[in-house]
Amino acid sequence: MFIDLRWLLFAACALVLWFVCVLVNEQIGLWNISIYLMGVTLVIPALRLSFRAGLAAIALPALLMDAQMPLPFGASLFIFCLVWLLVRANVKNIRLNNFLHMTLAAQLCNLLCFVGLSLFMAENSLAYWLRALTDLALSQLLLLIVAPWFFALEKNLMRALNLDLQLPTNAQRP
Amino acid sequence: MARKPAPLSTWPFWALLAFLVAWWVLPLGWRTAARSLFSTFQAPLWQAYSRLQDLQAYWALRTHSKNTLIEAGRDLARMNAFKENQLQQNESLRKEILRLEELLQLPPHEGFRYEVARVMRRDLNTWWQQLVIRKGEIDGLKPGQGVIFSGGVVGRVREVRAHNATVDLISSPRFRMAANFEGDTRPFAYRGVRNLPLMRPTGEISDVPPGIAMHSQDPRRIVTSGLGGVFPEGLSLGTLTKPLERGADGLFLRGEIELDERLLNLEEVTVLVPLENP
Repeated sequence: MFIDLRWLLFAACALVLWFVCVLVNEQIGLWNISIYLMGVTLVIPALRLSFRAGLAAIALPALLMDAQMPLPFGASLFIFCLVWLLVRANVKNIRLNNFLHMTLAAQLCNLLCFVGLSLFMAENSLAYWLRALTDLALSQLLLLIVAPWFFALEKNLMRALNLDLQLPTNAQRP
Repeated sequence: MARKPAPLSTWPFWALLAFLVAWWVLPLGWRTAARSLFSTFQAPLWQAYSRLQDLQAYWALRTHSKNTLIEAGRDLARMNAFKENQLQQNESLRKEILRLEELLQLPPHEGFRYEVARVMRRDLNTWWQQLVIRKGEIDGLKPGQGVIFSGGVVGRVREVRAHNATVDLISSPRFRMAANFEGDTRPFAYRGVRNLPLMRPTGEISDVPPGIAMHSQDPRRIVTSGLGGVFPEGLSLGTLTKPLERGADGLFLRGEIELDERLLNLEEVTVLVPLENP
């Protein structure tokens, strides 16, 4: 059985981004603002990995994050899976080498993940939605800078490890 | 002629639905075990990160000049002298309490052991406000125990693992407790509320008896009531700076209180571990 080990690299990149987000949030939390950028980690695994490898690449970081959250265990995993499946369903419309396509995909993924988590924690309070909107706007703005960096990081790590970004021969596509 | 797009494959969504159903029917024990596994797996990494931060702080302090250290030592000596005086006063008060308990045949006053813990991580985001501290089950921590700092109440322990624990901050909407005004014994409810961006952390008090008149010119401290036994009475929660309003029931009052700004930048806290009476 062919095992595509590229998922480990994508999972590691996602964990690095999570760690960076934690560091930033620790500092900016003083002003009651925060960022959420994890949606960007779903794009390339959805576009370039087989079903099983892609699922592994998003499930490991999602479960590690879930273990730290005061939410039902698996909430992030569910949201990530849903968004990842949506990207996979539109795989023919997104080009990996097109900057605009990738940026839009990252923005959309992050938006859906953020909205998903916000709905999980939703409460009937204006302050909650104001805070959510502010953090979402900040995150999406920051993602314009972070997404190209993150994609470049993933691609360059693949190149450094002599891994191919193209699909493995036995990949199953939707 | 344009090519007809391929129909959308729906099996991955059905697979996700099946997984979700399986996940929900999975016994709670399995899910708890999985959560614990993933939490334990990453705990050493967060510990290492926290200790690296301590090391960074240590080297930053090493760059201070000798004069700064001498000044800090002098200030510490003054504070030590003041604290020693307070310790003596506390000891005499403790003896007085014991004497009165014996005289009035009251049950013994339950105390706390103070477990000082470093803050490993602060999770202050849109959805929750929590701290992860570097003390856990092996230090006697249990869920529900109170957490304080020099400025008053920090929150309550929510989850305990072997070497670390998660604390819900008092600014978190999950946090509720009984409180009262300083110098007034009538209790009311306190709960954390969502904090708006760039604003001070706030909380809400409700079910305040109408006899308590408040004016914005007269800010009053809100303190713990001691009810419930998680916190001793008299610890600061925040300050009421705006006048109280009528609550939804039209009978009791409610208001917004300002919390200590240092809450969002804590590096060290103290957990109140109840002393077990023999």
